[in-house]
Amino acid sequence: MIHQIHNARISTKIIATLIMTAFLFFAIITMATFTIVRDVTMNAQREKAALLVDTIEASIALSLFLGTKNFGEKLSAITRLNEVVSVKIIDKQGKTILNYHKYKADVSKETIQITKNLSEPGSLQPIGSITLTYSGEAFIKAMNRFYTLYGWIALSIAILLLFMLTWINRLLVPIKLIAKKVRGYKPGEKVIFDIPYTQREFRQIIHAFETMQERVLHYSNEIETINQNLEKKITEKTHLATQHLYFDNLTTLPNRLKLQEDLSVNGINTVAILNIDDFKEINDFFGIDAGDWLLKQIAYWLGEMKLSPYRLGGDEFAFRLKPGNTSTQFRHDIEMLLSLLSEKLFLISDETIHIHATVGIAIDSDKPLIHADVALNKARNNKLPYSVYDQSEGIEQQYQANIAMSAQIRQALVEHRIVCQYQPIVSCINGQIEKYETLVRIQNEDGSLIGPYDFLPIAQKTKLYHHITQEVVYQACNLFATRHEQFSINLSSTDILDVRTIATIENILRQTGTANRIIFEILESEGIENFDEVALFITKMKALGAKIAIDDFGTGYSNFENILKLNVDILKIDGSLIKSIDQNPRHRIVVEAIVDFAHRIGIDTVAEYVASEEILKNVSDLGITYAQGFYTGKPQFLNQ
Amino acid sequence: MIRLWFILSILLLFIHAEDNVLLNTHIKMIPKIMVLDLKAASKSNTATLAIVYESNRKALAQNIADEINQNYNGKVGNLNFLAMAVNVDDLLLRKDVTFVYLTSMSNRSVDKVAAWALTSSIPTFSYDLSDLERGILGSIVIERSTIIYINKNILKEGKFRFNDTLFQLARLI
Repeated sequence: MIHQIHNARISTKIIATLIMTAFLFFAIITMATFTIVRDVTMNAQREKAALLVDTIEASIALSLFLGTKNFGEKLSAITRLNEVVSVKIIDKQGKTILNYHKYKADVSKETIQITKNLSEPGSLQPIGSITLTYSGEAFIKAMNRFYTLYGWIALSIAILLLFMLTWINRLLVPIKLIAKKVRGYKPGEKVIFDIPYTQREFRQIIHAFETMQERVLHYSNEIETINQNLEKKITEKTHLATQHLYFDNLTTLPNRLKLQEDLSVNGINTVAILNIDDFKEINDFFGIDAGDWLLKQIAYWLGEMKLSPYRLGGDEFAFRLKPGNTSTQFRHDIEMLLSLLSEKLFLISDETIHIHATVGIAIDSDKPLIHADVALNKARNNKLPYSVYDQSEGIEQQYQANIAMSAQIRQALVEHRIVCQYQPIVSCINGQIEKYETLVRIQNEDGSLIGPYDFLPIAQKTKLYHHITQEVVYQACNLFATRHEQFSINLSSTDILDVRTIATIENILRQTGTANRIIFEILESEGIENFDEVALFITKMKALGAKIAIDDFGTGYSNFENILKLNVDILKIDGSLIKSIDQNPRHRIVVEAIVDFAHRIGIDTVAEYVASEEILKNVSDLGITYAQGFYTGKPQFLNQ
Repeated sequence: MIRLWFILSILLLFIHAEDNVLLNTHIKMIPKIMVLDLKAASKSNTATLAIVYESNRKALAQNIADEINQNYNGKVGNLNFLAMAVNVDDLLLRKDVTFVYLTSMSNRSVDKVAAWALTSSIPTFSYDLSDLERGILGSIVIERSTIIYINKNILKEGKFRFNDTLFQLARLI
């Protein structure tokens, strides 16, 4: 209700206010006038009646006093008046002396009674009373005239208000017209306020609107200009974004996304991915700018080959089968391309270089890019110039298996199913187990074990390796904290380069007090590749009391100088040399050299893969300090 | 004047002796008319209402006086009075009379009383209305109703002053 009043039209409010004011004013005036008129009329009638009584009072009193009882003659002066309804005279004993009552059918019920005492002339002692009943008809008539008058006044006011309502509505018409015109206003348009018979106030409003219109028009024009500029910029940016989205910035070739869209549009599922061989070395050697320059030249050259190349990223380019060509032609074109590329000379920093590339091809594949990539990996692994994806080779299944294994490793870490077995390392002098090598396994839920070669390479690629290393160090250190033997743990270069892993290892060693019995086995190759970091790690661990062993020593490009620099304690001779030492004289010579070197610098040696008594005898004869293999002891759980 | 003669003629035809009804009315009204005389009303001592008679009519006058005294018990309004029968001749000698009521008597006696009353400025009312013609101030008759007649000439000459209301009721002739 309040809300409705609040939102009512101004004309309604004005009229309502006028009606309420008029009603209140009229009601007050009417009530006041009514009271005054009623009292005045009543009093006038009363006075008239009293006057009538006064007229006859004295003579009636005298008649009563004298006992003449000739009232009728005196009374006739007033009883002939229509207004006199009755006259009653009572003596002082209360006896009714006269009771005149006029019969009148239409006499009003409204009457005025005037009673006066009659006094004895002279002594003024009461001798009776006279009661005059006076008709109120005159009063009623007067009041009726009053009601009629005020009825007309009320009607006049109502008509006046009606006229006012009409007039106010007419006055406010311009507001409605202005509102109607403003409602349909749109920036940029000009509204003409051709409002008739406007008052000054409306002209002011119209003037204000027109001023506002001019400003809005001005700003609208400005905004229009700004919008046009913005649209232009947006178009440019959209074009640029499209360029960035679908085209490679460096080579201006269409990118992987464009290839994917083109493949989805054309339904051509034959794709080749070309990867520049050893491009990283080119980048490292000549610098990234030169590498980029080379990529541009390659892209330009590929474009000239009319193969519509795409750049997938880095040093990878792609081609798709042109509509109308066969897969055989496509394969031939790729072969030709590789042949021509191998003969092509590219210029980098005033140097001419040959580049080679490897290509993976997916023909009529449902996942052409993935399969081409799989084929590329296969070609690279097999040192082939190109390879065609063959679903029957199950490479993709291998990927799926790797993903499954990754999930399995993660699950095993969560469920603490990473376990350690320990292979004894026995002294070749007394045959006693003096050390153990810690070997990690995943224990399946059924209790079966998965060997490290099955999951560690995958763990290394999925960043889970550090967690496995930390788990192994934790388990081994806690176990050997209660034993007296030495124990070794294999560390990879990624472990050594990981600050967090090294910090964790240090903490575990301090907590378990096993630093003076732990041996960290490091691959010789990794020690060479990351010499400074490995040397720092060795220094840090040796400071704690740990020993360092070079694992699989004797394979690859063994560098004795590096061994000296790394200040290792043990050389673990690679099992490939040991397992055929009794049959291959060359291996024996290499082992002898290693043992001699170790003796000379005063470090121990461990022969791995000691699988028979003959091998044990040979390694003992050669002066190797320790033997490790299935013959001397298989990996086993020590904590069960 | 013609009207007065007409009324008096009518009355003479019917009245040959005191009418008891009229006399009783006079007995009842005369003291009250006396108290309407402002001079009498202002009297502090006992007023005297003289019932005047002639020769052998003393008994009637005395009866009237007794009747009045009995009816009013010596007081009308605030005025104490005494009604007494007084001979015409005695009246002319008295000086304590406040109001005079004449019983039927000869014209000669009426004339004497009228002259005396006018000189003494004492209101006189008579049993006979015709006495007003001879200088008596007023009388009371019963027509359709009881009517008081007052001789307006005597009223003026004698400078009598009555309560105004009397004039509303009385007929001046």
